[in-house]
Amino acid sequence: MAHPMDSIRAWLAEKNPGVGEIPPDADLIENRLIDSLGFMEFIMLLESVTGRDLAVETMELSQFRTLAAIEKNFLPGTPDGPDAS
Amino acid sequence: MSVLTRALDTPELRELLDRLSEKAAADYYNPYRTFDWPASLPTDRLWMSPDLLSVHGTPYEASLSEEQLYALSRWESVNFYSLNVHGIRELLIEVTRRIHRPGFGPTSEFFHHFIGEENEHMWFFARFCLRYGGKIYPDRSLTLGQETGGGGSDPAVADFLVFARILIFEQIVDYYNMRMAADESLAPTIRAVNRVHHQDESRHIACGSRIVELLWRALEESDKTAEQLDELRAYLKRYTETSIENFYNPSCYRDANIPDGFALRQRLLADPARQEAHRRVLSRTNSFLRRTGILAGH
Repeated sequence: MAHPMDSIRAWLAEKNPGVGEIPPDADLIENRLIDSLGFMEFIMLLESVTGRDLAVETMELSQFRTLAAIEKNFLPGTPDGPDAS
Repeated sequence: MSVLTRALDTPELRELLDRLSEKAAADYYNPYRTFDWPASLPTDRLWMSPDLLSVHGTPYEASLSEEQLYALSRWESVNFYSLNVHGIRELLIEVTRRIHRPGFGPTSEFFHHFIGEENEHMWFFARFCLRYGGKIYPDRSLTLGQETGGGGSDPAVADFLVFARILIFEQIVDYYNMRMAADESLAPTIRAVNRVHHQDESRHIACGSRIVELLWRALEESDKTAEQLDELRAYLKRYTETSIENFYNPSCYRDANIPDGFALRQRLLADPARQEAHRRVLSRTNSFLRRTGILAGH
């Protein structure tokens, strides 16, 4: 089964053709890999891979800013994730 | 004299807004007493016109049972009114910021009617969601602090984008309102909410169309480069597409017991039948944007 982060990387690659490998600490907002119009679909994807609704209105932008932050905040303990033993 | 003051201070706009303000006052109604709110709506029929459902015209539609379509129509109607609640809240914030700002003098009187009516629309849409769906679907947007349109913090660009977004949002919603207001198969409360909203929105759209066109002309005549104007065009084209895509909410599919909502959304968005449906919904918006030159070259 694919790691949930693979789905997120695939979505980013589809929305940003030609960007190549995105480093875990690259700022997705600053580099416009996610913009305000794409953000809502990105949240739908994140809800899909986490299996839960996200209360975006109560969240901080820093939670979504890098791939490392997304994995730490939303996907801890997933196979091959940071908390996997 | 600022770019904005010149843009909106025209005899033709003043005459239009005077007429719309008079009509708003003459047609004023008490929204809190206008509608019947039965305790529940029938679940053995659609809550949305069938051609407005996100699956309409696709092979997937035929695979759903009648009961599944009824359930989907309930949740997609709650999504539609939820989108209205969030969209109205944002436009109220932006119009309220501008109502008595220098340059908006010609529009201030009408903006008072606009703000009052929009607040009432937000109330009846929220009431529908909470009474019949038990919830308002959450807003997934977040302010990212990115500049749009090559204008930096240029207020002329910001003003144009605010009113262009409001107009596009209202025109898309109005397509749904008109269809459901005329659909005799829908429950009377659903038809009434859509009919009343359409009546008020016709004034807002008339006003918004003129404001957007005048603000665009001002940008064309300003020192904005062709590249900056193209960036605004590209943004609005994407904004329009994204607005339509919000009708494909994975949470609705989940609530209607349809699995893999995000994957279904992606499949539906790629379906030629849905692209054709989008063209119909956006016909008026695209005609306006092309006629005014806002979407020229795209």
